[in-house]
Amino acid sequence: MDASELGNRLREERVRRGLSQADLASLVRVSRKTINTVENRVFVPSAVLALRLARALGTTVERLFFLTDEDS
Amino acid sequence: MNPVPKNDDLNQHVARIEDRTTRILISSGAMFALWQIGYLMLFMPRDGAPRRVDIVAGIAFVAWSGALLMLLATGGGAFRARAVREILDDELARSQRARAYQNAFWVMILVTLAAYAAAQFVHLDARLLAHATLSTGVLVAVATVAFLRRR
Repeated sequence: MDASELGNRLREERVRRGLSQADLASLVRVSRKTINTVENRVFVPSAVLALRLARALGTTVERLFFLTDEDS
Repeated sequence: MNPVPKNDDLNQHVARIEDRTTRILISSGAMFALWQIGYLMLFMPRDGAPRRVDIVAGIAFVAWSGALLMLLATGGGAFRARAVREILDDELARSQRARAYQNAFWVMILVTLAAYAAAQFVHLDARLLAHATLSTGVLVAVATVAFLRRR
């Protein structure tokens, strides 16, 4: 899948909860760089990581991720 | 084995290891590439029995290739605590490594095909072919990971 096809609201959800990239990375047990590349749409996370991110941010995967050809 | 850092420090610790590993991959990969020039000029297989220096150079080449591949495979996390190793081997790292191995595979196939075609017309030494295939494979894998980590 092309990374540009997947949009996300990871940054806004993270900031809304007052978390840094490093904080979120610690919560989902990945590196800060992984969070950064997902936020910047360089890397497409697996379903498992998407679910872990959603759980850590107290939201749903559908809220966090969307296809860019859909209206967000 | 190094102790596990506290949770807050864990990511900083991992980031330092990642940065250091990337720097080592870039510098060591560049030196490895440069070294090939000297190797091919000085230690190329020639007629007669190999000199001792040729054997030493061959062993050094294999050891260096192995060290670079080990660094790629572990992300610099060998002999680290399990928690550190897990983060160093997270989804992004595995994806980058998979891309590196994929690129290396195709380049090695191309080198082998080129060698096969050339061997129809000229005699090619087996050691030279093995050297060229391994060198390009290692270099492409290292360069791919270094590039992806810098994005």
